[in-house]
Amino acid sequence: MEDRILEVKNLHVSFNTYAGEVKAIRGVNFHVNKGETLAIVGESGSGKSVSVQTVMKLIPMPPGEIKEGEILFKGRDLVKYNENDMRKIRGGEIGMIFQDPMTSLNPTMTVGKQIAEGIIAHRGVKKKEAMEMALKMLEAVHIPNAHERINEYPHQFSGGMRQRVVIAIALACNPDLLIADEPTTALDVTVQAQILDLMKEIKEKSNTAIILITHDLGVVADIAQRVAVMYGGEIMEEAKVEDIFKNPKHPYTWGLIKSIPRLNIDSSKEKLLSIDGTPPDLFSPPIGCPFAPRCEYAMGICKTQKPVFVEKENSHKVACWLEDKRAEEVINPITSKSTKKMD
Amino acid sequence: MNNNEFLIIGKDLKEGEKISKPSLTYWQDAYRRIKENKVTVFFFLAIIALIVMSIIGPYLNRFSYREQNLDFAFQFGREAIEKGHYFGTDDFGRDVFTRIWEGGRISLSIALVVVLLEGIIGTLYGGIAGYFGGKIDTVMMRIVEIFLAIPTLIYIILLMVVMGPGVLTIIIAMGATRWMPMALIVRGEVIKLKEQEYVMAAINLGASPMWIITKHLIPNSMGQIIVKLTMDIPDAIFTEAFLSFIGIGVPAPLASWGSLANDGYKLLVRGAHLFIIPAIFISLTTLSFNMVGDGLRDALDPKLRK
Amino acid sequence: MLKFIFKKITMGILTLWAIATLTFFLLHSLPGDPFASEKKIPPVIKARLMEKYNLDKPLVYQYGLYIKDLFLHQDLGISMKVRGRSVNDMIKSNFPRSFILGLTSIIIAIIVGIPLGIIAGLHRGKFLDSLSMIVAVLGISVPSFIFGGILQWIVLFIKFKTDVSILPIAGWGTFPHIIMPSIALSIFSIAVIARMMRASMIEVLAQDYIRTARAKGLNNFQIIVKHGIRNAIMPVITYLGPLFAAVTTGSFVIETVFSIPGLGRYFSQSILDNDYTVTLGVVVFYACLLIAMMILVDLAYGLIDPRIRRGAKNE
Repeated sequence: MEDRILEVKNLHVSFNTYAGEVKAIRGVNFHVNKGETLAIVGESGSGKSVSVQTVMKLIPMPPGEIKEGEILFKGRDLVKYNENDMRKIRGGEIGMIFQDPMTSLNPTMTVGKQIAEGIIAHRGVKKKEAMEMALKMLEAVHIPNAHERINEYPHQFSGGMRQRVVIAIALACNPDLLIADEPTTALDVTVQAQILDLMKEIKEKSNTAIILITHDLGVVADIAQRVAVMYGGEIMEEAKVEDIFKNPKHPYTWGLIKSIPRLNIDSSKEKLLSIDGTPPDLFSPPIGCPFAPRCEYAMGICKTQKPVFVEKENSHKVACWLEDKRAEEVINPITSKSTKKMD
Repeated sequence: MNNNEFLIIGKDLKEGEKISKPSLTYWQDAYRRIKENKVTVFFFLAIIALIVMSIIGPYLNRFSYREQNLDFAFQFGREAIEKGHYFGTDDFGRDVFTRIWEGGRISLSIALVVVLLEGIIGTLYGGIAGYFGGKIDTVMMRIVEIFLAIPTLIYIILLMVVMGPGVLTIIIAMGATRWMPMALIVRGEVIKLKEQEYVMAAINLGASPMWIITKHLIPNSMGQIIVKLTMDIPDAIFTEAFLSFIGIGVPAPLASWGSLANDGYKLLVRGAHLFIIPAIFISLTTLSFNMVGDGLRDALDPKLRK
Repeated sequence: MLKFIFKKITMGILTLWAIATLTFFLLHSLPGDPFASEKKIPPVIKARLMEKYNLDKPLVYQYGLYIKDLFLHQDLGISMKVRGRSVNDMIKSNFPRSFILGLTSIIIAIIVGIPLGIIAGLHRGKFLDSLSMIVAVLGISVPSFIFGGILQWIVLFIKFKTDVSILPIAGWGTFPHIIMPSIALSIFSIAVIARMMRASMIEVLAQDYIRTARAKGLNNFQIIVKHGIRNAIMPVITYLGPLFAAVTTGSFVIETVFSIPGLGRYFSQSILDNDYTVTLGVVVFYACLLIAMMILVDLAYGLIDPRIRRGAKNE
């Protein structure tokens, strides 16, 4: 058994709104091993952010509610933790960074103080020592002239720099797990590459496990070891990165891979592909597979029963009725091989 | 489970696009939100009640507002009610109930007319300044900024001093100065809306400035305008009461709630009801409009749409 | 930064000039003359009075004299009612009382209003919030002078029933005299500040950086105070200018109601007496005061908000 630092089991999260219950997450399972990077991929509304924010218990409850499931962090179930204990975990053992660096920092506090705050809260050191540690963090994320810039305010930094500061804050107390919720979506492509390189560097230096949420498969290929594909509040497929690109098994994953723009497309012969349709309504979530309405290969049973999440070779898991013996044979559009052949 | 279930059917997009929540227009949603807010509805009804009473009130008992009866002055309580003086009598024996509603007519009419005036002038001024921008906007706004350096109340006082007391002069004085804050708000809204694409589309299609201002920009600012107008009514009532209290308001023998409160205040020791009753009505009206204004603002705020 | 101050001051002087001019012409457009209300004055004496106050000269000339006196000597002229008394003197002796009254009211408004708003914002939708906001709405709705009158009536009523005078209902001179008038004057401002603070708190608490603070594992106190209140209080500071203006105008009536010999009461009186110079002088004085206050508030805001203070880079 690999060393699992985080294991989410059968997590169900709902939101109680005036219009009813929104079942945002329905039976999600995933895990992260020590020092490994897990990417969670999916469209907006697929439940990726809710999943990880629930791990940190940052979702306001009410109106949110964990209806069922376990979140095992280093063996302890966070679902049962009270707010006091969670506070020690947040920032201390699990760090989190969010999407928009422009709004994630307090505009009226210096950057140094914002980093030092967490250090003082978790390590109990005095202010002077905390500021020294904050300075080291700024240098670790490659902010030039760190000893001057430590006393500056967020608006004096560019977007990419701010995101580095955000990363510095999240890693200040040397957490075992870093959760990054679309950290590069709001940034320029060139800056994006820099931030990803920074994260790779951090992973190597301190062996921090990372959960990276993204909708960009290119980022996944760049930095992750394993991938989980989410749709409509459920996990569709989970595999090692090479496997997901070489041998994806779920029609949704096929759709995602097919819609990656490629530079060598001959525009007169091929169109830019996308998946028709829109994500499901979570007030009355679908009974069967959530992707069925948009799936070219949908079958009668897909609408009435949820597919079982089966594990194939190489820890490759998938939830799809196509895997069932009774299903028709289909040609996998990515591998061009039949789904029935043993792979 | 038979094998028919495993035959491939393919996509069913209509199924996926069912949306459970009905989609409402901006105004429908606002109306729904207002209706749900019982407090707002309650105070709205209170306003209606006050307006209705101001119209029919004076006819409800047999006294007129100037009929004097010096033998029966300063009466209040059960004895007075039996005689038909529901709110008692004042220092000249005049019926307070009738005078309150007469006063209500004046106070409410002044407030409503003034607010209407400031709405029209302010909206046009602000709309034009905001739409044209550039030098026109700068000049128009500088003028307003200079005047707004001191509270409009002071201008109103000066104008009243110059024009002398009277209902008409009060309306002119208040209308001539209070449109400026409104202009500021409308200009702000227009500037925000100007950037929207449908405005650029309209310009490209060759619409004239007046058309754009009146058909697109103003209707879409209506939400903010209505809220401001509603909140300005209590301020207008307050201003009129204030003017009357320092002696340059509505002249005798006419009465407004403000002048009634002023007269009543001077006689506080001899007949507290003469002060307290107008005070209650002023406060109640102001409270009602404020509550309704608050409710309207919450209902019309697109950010709060659920 | 200096450019900022310079610009504000120039605008301020320009505004002051505009207001002085406007007020001057408005008042002098009144029919008749300031002495019309007095008992019959022999024409000779009246002519001499008119001459003394330059009322016989062309309007433009009077205006020029006025502006000259105003800007070069800060001289606001002589009262027409209380002859021989300079307006400057009157302001000097009466303003300090108004100032104390106003300052006390503002302090009360800030000390009560801000915490009230914070509590309401933190307990949004719950009982404390509704309670605070009802109090706030009442505060905006009941005019300050009516509130003052009611306070007086309560004290009188208590005196009537128990023969005990718990507070002086009028006059000036000792500490208890300040209590009721400043409370009455502050009610409106308390309400406005509380509502503003509440809205600001709610908006700030929904910001992303609050989520970051929670993700850091900070405790509630740190999040609310260092990240929440610090940012939420900004808009309230910009309200200080209008607050000052509201308290100033409110003082006209409060001073009358509580018989306080302050500038506001003399202003109201001068209106009824047609004492042009005093009315004009007080308006100009108040305008000057308010403009100066606005500039100070702008400066204060610039100092506190680091974005303005240090200039925004890379926006």
